[in-house]
Amino acid sequence: MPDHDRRKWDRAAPHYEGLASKAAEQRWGAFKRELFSGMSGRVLFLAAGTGLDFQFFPPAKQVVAIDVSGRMLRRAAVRAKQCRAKIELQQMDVRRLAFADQSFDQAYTSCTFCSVSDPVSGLRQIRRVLRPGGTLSMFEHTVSRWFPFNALLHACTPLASRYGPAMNRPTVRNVMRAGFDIRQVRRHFLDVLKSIEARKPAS
Amino acid sequence: MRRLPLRTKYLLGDWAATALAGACILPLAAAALPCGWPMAATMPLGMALGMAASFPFWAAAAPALGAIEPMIHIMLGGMTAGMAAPMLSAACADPGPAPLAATGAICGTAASAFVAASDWALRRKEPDA
Repeated sequence: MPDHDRRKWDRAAPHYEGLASKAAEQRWGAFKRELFSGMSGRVLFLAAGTGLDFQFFPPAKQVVAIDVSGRMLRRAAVRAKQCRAKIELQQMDVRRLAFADQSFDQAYTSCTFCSVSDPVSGLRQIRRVLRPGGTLSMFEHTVSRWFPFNALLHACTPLASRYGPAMNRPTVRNVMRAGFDIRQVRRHFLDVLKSIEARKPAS
Repeated sequence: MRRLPLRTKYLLGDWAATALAGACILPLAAAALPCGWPMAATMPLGMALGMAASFPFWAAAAPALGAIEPMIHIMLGGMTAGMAAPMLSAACADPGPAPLAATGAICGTAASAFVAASDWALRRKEPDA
C-alpha cells in the first residue's frame, strides 16, 4: 500500500469533515442521491472517507466500501452502523484491489479520483473487478475546459494536493483511457463538478 | 417570508464571502506591492498575492458554504482584487482604507457574478453529454 497516500489521508482525517462539511453535503446531496439511486447487484464503493456519503445510499443495498486510510475508516464505521444500507468496510488502495476479477456488478466513487496518485491505474483496477457490462458511476470534481477556471484550478493544485486532493484531474479522459465507455456526463458546476456514468465493454 | 431555494441561498453566501475577501485582500495587496514598479510587473504579482491571500478566506468559508464552489468564487475574487490594487494605487496618490476596501468588495462582487454567469452559460451551452 503506498504509504504516502495513506499517511496524507490519515493526517487529514481529523479535519476532513470541516471542509467536506454539512454545507457541501447539502449542496451536492441531491446529485449524489440521484447517482446512488441506481445501485443494484454487488456494489463496490471507493474511497469511503469518513462515510459522509452513506446517508445517500438507498436502503437495503449491500455495499463493499474501501478506503486507503485506517483513521478515516474508523470514523466511517460509526456511520456505517447508522446507515440503512448494509456496508462492509475494508482498508484497501484502489490501485491494488484485493478482489477477484469480475466480482462486482457496479462501482461508485465520490470525489475519489482527485486524490488517487495514479488515477488511470486505479481505474484499470476497477475495470478488472467489474463484470463485463458492469457500470462505473462517479461524482467527481475535475479540471474545467474553460478559461479562467482551468488556469485557476491548475494554479491551486500544487498547494491543494499537498494537504488533500488535486484540483486539475482530467477524470473523464482518464476513464476512457482505462478502457471504459462513457455513457453520460452530467455537469453540475462550471464543468468542474460532474457525475460520470461509464460502462465496462461487454467483450 | 418564502424560504430561498438552496442554490440561491448558497450563491448569496458565495457572493458575500467573495465580497468580504475582496474587501480585505485589496488593501493588503495595495500595502504589500512595491511602489514605482511598472504596472506590467505589479499586476501579475498582485494577482498571485490575491490568490494566495484568498486561501484562508476559503478555509474559513468552507464549513458554512462547502468546498469547491466557494473556493472558485473566492479565489477569483482574490485574484481580481489583487490585480486591481496596483491600478488603484496608480490612479490615486493615497487612497484611504475605506475606498480600497469598497473597491475590493466591488471586485469580489464582479468576480462572483462572473462565476455565477459562467456557470449558467456553460450549462446552457453544453447540455449533458
